Amino acid sequence: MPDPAVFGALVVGLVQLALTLAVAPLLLGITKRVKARLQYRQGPPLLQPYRDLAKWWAKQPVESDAASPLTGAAPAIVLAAVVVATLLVPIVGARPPLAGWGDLLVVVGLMALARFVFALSALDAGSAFGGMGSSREVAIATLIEPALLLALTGAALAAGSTDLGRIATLGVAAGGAWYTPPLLLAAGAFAIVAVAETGHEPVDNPDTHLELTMIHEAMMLEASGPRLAILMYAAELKLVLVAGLFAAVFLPVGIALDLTPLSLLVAIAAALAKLIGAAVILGVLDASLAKLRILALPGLLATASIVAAVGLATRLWLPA
Amino acid sequence: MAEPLEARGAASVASGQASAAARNGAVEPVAPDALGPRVADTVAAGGRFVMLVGLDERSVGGDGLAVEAIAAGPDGGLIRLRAGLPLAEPSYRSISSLVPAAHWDEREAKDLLGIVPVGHPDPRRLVLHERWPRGYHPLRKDAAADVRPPDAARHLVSFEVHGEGVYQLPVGPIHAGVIEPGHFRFSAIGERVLHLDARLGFVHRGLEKLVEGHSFAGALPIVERACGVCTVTHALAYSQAVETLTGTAVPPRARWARVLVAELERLYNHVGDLGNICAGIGFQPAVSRLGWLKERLVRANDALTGHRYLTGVVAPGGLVADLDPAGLAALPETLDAIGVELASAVRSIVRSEGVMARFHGTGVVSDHVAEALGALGVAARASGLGHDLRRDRPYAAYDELDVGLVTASTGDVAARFHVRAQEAHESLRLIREAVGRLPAGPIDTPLAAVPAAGESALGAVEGPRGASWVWLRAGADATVDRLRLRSASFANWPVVAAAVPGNLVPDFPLINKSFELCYACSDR
Repeated sequence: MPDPAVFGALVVGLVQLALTLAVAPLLLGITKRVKARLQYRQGPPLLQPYRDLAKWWAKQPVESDAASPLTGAAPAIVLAAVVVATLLVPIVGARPPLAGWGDLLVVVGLMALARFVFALSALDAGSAFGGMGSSREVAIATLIEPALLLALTGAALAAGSTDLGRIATLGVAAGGAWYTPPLLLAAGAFAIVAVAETGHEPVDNPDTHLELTMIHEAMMLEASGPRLAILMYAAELKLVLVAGLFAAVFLPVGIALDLTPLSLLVAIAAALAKLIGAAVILGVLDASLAKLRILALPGLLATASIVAAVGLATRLWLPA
Repeated sequence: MAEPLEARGAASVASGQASAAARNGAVEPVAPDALGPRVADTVAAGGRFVMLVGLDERSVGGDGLAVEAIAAGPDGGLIRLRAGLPLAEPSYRSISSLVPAAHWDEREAKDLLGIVPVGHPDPRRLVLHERWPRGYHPLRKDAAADVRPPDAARHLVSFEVHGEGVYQLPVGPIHAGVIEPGHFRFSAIGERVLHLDARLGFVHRGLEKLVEGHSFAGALPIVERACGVCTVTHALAYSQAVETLTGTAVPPRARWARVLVAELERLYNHVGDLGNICAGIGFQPAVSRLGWLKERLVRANDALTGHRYLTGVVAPGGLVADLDPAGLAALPETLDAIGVELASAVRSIVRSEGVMARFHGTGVVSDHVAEALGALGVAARASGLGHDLRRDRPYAAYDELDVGLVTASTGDVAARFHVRAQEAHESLRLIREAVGRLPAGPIDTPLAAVPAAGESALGAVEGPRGASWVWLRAGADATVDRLRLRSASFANWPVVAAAVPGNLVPDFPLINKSFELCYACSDR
């Protein structure tokens, strides 16, 4: 009989891994469905994203003549980075599956790695759209990352640690007392960043057919077959990662602190509810907002940075 | 928000039914090199360039080619200048260098008839792309119609800007969405467009060659189907040309019914286009609302005429069939409901700050540029030009109607949006009036006479995108010898290309949709 604590951690870890991997395409289905219903449309079936993945997986990829071996390797690197980052976030249990292997800085770093490799692979095909999408993605990333780090730093200061497991544990334990004004400001900043990071309105339109306005989609235009399936799946999983990160830090309620079956069930239900809630909100945003002019995006993301910075300043200089 | 609009209802031109000859203008023979200066003089005096028609005279007793330039004088009368050109060396001094509005017309005549405009600022091919064999000019009477270009792909010659940091962005002809084909070559620095080169012609079907030799009735379905959303416009312009040629007077019920369907066509196009503009910025609530409104309108079309897009309604001599009584009875109530809903939808768009921030100042066309390039319809009126054929050259029963002229001065996406919204309401009003004044009586009349071979006439209709002109020459026994359809889209595409430089690359779909031009009726 192994050590119960190790066994329990293993179970929670496997549950989170299975849950996040399985639910990612469903969230996209929910977002699309919500958007469609708000437009008086029926919308695609909820399970359509799974079918799309299976369809692309079975297709033969077409590769640009200009492509280097990077094009073949990039989807795997992007997906691996996102999967590992997800495993560092406490989504079900307060101890993330890869607890001890990295803190929130590593998560942000892995997201940056995924973005970097993805942008490189989009350039690799040598087509104008990939380059255009990459340049936009990287330009926006330089604004997203500071805001993301500032927002997460606010939470890390509240917990006195950059360890996500510890932040979530303290957050659950504190209950309503967790929501100090500085933390709420950080949550607001993170919410703006989350919309930009996952590529939804008013920053990017995930369903657009207008090539010239695309950001994320433009980078995917040259991907096909299994590579498209992997990149698409990585994008779906990224929503789980961003929503999970938000939930772990700013909405930790429900996360399992112990390993009883009951708390585990509650934790699974809470995690599902949070993820689905995020998908619904993104669907509502997509259905109700117009896209911002691309030169107005720095303003939006700078706002997020400023809100997060004000949150930090409030915590540092005002008495607790 | 400042209201950039003036909607004023001026008195209609009470000219009555001008005689066919006066409406048509007389053909004046000129020397080939005099075409440009003569057209330029007319434009300088306050007239406008209308169209250019390349001709092969061999079918009507001549021995060479000819080119006819048509301009509207300041008083609205047509000036038709025709220059004969020897078959061996069919060239004349280009009009475009003096009158830029003739730019595409001259390139098209060069492709289709081999008539060379010497000194043209852009001598590239227009409709028959680079891969077509040299020397093949399908509209020459001795050219076979079934020639296909070799499959060998040859690159389009594009106009590109080069320099430090400038990159080329080729878009299309196949797009990510289900839209018509066009190749857009952007030269951009960062997100800023320096130059846009629009290449169309990918859906050139040779319709003008196809109609040659058909009877007047047989050519109608082809002309009408040049484009799916301008069917009334093209069928009516063609019918007018046939009626002028044959001296046919259309009965009153048909004249009023033509107003009715022409305004229905404008209405569903404008409503749909307002939604399409919002699609250009991904503003889904408006796309859905206006999409549903457009659907209700095309269903009303169906109830009235048996066709959602009003095909097979207008024919030379009157109408194909009378309007459905039940559809006609239901129309006013439907339109009232749609008017309320349209006003509400437009209000919600105008009140959305994020939307209007994208509209204002985007894709500006100055009145000077619009006039020089010969912009038509909404594209012209949004830049402050008061051109509207329903007032300037009334047809059908418009001479008995007081059509309100809607203009705006800013020339941007917002201006084109507002002009469309206001014109949609004006169309609603005109439709109600036409329903109320629709007289009883016959819906058509036989064509009065068979025109002499070689006789030519024009028809013109203010369609949803502006003035579409049909130039028609009769062959023997009431057949089509030569037909040219110059759609409003054809005239306006160069204006789109001029509206884009200085704007951002991702603003192009918005600018493009604020014009919402057809490719099919431009390429033919």
